[in-house]
Amino acid sequence: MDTIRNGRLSDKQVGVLLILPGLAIFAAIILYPFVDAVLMSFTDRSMIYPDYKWVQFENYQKVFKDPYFTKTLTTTVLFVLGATVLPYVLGMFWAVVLNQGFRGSEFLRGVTLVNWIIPGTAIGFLWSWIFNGQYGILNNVLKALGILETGVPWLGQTNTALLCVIIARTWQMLPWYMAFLLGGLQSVSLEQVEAAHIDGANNLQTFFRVILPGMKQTAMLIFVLGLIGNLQHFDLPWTMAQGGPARATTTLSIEVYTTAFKNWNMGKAATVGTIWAVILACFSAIYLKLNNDENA
Amino acid sequence: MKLKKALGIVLALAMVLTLAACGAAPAQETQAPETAAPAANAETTAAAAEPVNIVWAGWSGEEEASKDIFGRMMDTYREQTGNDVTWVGWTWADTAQQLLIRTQGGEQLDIAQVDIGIFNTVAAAGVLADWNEVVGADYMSQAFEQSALDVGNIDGQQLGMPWSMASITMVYNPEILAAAGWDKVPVTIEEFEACMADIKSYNPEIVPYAVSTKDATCAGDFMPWLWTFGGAIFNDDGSVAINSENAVKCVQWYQGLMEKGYIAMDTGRGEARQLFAQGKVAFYDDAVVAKGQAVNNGVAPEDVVKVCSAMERPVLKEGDAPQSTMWGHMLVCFKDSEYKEQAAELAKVLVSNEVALDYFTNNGMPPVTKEAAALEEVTSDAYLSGFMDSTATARLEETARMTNANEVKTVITEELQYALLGQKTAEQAVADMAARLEAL
Repeated sequence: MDTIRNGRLSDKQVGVLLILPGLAIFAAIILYPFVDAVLMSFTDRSMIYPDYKWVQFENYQKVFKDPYFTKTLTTTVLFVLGATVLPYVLGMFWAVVLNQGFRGSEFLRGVTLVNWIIPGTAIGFLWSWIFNGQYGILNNVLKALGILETGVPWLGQTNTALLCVIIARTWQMLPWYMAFLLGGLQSVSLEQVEAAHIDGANNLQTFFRVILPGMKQTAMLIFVLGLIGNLQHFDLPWTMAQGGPARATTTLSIEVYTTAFKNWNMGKAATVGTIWAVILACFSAIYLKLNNDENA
Repeated sequence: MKLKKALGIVLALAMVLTLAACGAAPAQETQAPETAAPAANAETTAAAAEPVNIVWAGWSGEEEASKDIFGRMMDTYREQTGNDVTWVGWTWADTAQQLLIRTQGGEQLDIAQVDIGIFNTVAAAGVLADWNEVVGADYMSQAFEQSALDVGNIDGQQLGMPWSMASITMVYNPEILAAAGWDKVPVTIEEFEACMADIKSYNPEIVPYAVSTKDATCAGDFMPWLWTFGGAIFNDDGSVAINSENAVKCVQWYQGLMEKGYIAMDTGRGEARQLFAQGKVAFYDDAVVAKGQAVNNGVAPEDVVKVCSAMERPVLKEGDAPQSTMWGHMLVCFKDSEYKEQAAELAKVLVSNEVALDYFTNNGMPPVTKEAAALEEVTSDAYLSGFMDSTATARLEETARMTNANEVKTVITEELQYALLGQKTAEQAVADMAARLEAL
């Protein structure tokens, strides 16, 4: 089939021709900017001056020697884990509740999705207002309940700022996890669940020994996708705290943005971006592996 | 096999062409203005009679306090010239970045409002036109004082047209001070602390001093206090000077204010203005535009001094010079603009007496032309006189002429925050500021 017969193209050759436009578009909008960014990381390119020179690995040396970069990596890990695990667990819980199919569950499912539709920056400002130390609604409620005497600047303290951003991210992403996990739950065989109940398993035992193993692949995929999404996330840490106070909410995405667009240092920003891309690639590889396993 | 090879070549060519197309575009755009400049000028001259639409960029037109005034400015331009003007705006903090991106992207940009803090960065990008060439050196020297022109002059080129010049100093609410038993403003730091203690006793819900402790304004507020304590960020030769005893004393003083509850974390200029307008802040640092916030909140322009007055920054000991930073807005015209002539017309409208007085009356922006600054309404204004007293000793921010000003300010802000949150001693924070600045 692969050989040329009577001047006609083989199936493989036709296949290559068919993917050619897609490949060209990929090269233009993904490959070129990526290669350009990697190359830029070896230069001292600035946003202000058009001229630049090659500096080899100088940017990488500077970044890895910077003690504040280690802190940025730690903050990124904390944010990614917190902003994935918390909404994941709550989303799973809510999905299990909605999966009971009680009256009004479809309405509740629709209402839950509203959070996900609201733009990230709007959510950021909404939660900044909630957590504001001077006029925030959280302080007012806690003072009214007698829990606090004076207002706490939740976003102005290093020990609470990141937690506030994680809470806001949880509120934003809970519907996303709920929707996908609900899909996974609905794929689990009802007969198996009923059989487990007949055999005397309680709800928790049924969930952990029958339902969860039944949707293991899907659950893992959603978790890894959540990790990747949070690793790329920018809106909430920026709108709520701009990376502060004292770098408490500076994640890799914030670091790249401020280095490029506040400090005008495109070369260094591209360096951090490349390191960031390598970390993302690891998670993407896990995702692809899981995806292949599920399809196998 | 031949067909496969041919297919391979086609594929490779397609990839190369695509990449080349992507890569070549910006270079062409960058070169085009220089080579096409005479042609563009010729077109402009030919089309001078035709109404054109120019693009004006900045941030004040986005702010509630000045949005209406900017609308009136543009209406005046339209009426007087028959041309149209489109406003493109961002937040103050994003303006430098957006101007650079827009100029590099080749988008239309004819005139912009820039703060003196970002002026040097935009000028360094080599995108600004010389006003002396656009409107003529005679117009500039006749309209403005030399001292104002100097701020916008870089290496002999008049890249900025003065639009408003004053200082960022401290503003206070006379009603809160009076209620706390203070009929006059504190002059020394000792008095200032005593005043804040009285305000705290009078009403614990009031933040005595909303000094900025976050974002781009934090380092800007810190600088004049550092000078007050006799410190500096840089020496005259550009070397780092911040690791000094005086800087440590200044940071320790900040820490003391935080411990006593006189200042608060998570406070930027936006929060300070909002809380001040609500009567929940006694002192904060701001420019003359503070008036706009009060007017926007329903205070009559003539009554603003009753709730928002400028004062000189308290000093270590009586007789010291009060510190404040120069503040101002300039108008810049872009080298690649096809409508420099029309942009110049807009600039002239903006600094005209009628428009400048409207801006001054409703927003507090002091006019900067010789003629408008001498008007009775301006010279007799009680609100402005407070700012002008501080302007007499005002200095440019130490980072004002640096292209990496934001990077320097970020280092100062972050280390100050570490100290205020008790994660570093004042000595350690100052030493780390110095080490990080030296590494830039």
